[in-house]
Amino acid sequence: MAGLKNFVGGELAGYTELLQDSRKEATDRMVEQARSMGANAVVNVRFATSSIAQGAAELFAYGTAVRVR
Amino acid sequence: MDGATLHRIGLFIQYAWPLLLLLSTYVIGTIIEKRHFSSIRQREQDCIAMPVVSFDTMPDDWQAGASTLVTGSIVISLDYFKRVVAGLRALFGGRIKTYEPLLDRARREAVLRMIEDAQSQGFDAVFNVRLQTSRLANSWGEGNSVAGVEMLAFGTAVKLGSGLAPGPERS
Amino acid sequence: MKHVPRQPRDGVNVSTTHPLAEAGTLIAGLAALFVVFVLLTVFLVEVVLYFVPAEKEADLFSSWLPDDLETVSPDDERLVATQALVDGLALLWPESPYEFRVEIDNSDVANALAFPGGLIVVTRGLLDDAETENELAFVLGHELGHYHNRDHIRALGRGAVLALFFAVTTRSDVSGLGLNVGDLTLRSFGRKQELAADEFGLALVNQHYGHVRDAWRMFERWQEESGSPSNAGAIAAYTSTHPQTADRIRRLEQLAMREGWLLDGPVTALAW
Repeated sequence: MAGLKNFVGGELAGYTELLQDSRKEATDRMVEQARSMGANAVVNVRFATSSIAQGAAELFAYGTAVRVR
Repeated sequence: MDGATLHRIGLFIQYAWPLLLLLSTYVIGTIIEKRHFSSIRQREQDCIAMPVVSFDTMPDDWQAGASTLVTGSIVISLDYFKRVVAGLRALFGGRIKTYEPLLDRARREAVLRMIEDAQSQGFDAVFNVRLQTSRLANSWGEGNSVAGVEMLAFGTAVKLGSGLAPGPERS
Repeated sequence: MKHVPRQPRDGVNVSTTHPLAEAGTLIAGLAALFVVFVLLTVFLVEVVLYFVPAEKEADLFSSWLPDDLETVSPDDERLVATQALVDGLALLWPESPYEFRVEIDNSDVANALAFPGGLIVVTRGLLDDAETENELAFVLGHELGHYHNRDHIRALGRGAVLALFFAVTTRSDVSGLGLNVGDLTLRSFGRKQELAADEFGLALVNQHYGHVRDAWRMFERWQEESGSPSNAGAIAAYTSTHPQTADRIRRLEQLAMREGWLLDGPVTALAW
């Protein structure tokens, strides 16, 4: 589908949704890790997306877990 | 050996060989993975005392003496089993769950190596930690097939001033 | 800022699905996809057969020649004789809509090919190898059998679906389907189709000569020349499209006996 869009141009709605869902999942996992350490906040969060293989992408979210009063 | 047996052996070789390859690479890959994970867990436990944070500015109460860039990187190759599963995933879409442990290992190992780099030079803390992934292309397959994945972790290591070094607190 | 040494929970970034389970599901999905394509093949072949009856095929390809053919002069005596033989055999199949044309390919390998539209190509090697007219008649009859069973159109349908399957699964450009008629129809008749063509050929030979002596003599000669025990290479036999020679001989013998055809009679010499 995206291959055809390459000809026509415009937003790739399918990809957008896929990456958004994945980013949310990655963020959730980061928050879960922070919570398991006893933190109640994550600061300085950064995101990174990279292409791992043809048609496969990796998304990660990382930050510093802190306990704020 | 008569024709029928030969023919049966031939069919077996033709169809079972790829499955055998898949299974053996899966088993070997899993063993390597488990060993790596336990090594990672051990080393993470050992350097738990060192603060490693992603703040882009140094916290005010740290008084840094020396500072330097520290890096840690690792290259992990994708075994045959993972590549096949990812290839099938490419057909149907969805999460490639077999890649997750691979990238988890790579990330944690890269961060550990960065910490070890800092510790070996006598630094006390690392801030502004960033992570970067890139894939290494293979020479066959017109540079499209993946040979491996490189994970890079880098940050600023600092020697903390006396009296203000954040100490470990057990709770 | 106080540093509290803590380790996060292990395994957050790893899914709990077992890799073998994931692989199994995907492979099952691929198998299901393959089954769908197989069914599609059968359906499509029937559709193509319906829309391209033999008459239309004969009409469409009536003057088509493959590109890599090195032909001989039209006055070549072997060409004339072979054409006459084909015409004679075709008379025994009156409903045939084809006007069969014979061409001789300048190759040393003994081979005979049937192209859509009624073009039969025999190689120089085959004509050199043939010892009697009966042998040649059987080979030509076999090719006529392919036309009778509409094997070309079936192969076309199969080839198109296979190309589509690979295009979908390897995500290559759809335009690469490039249906080359020669490639698709020619080289890949299945084992069953070859055996069916054999039977048709033998029936024609029996009608033409009144007996089937020496019809499969060429096969027997290849057996003797290769000197290998008839069941070696059983692996290759199953996976190749041409049924093993010994198997073909056996089936032809059984057919002749079943039909009560005479196994003996005067052998006709080649016309050159």
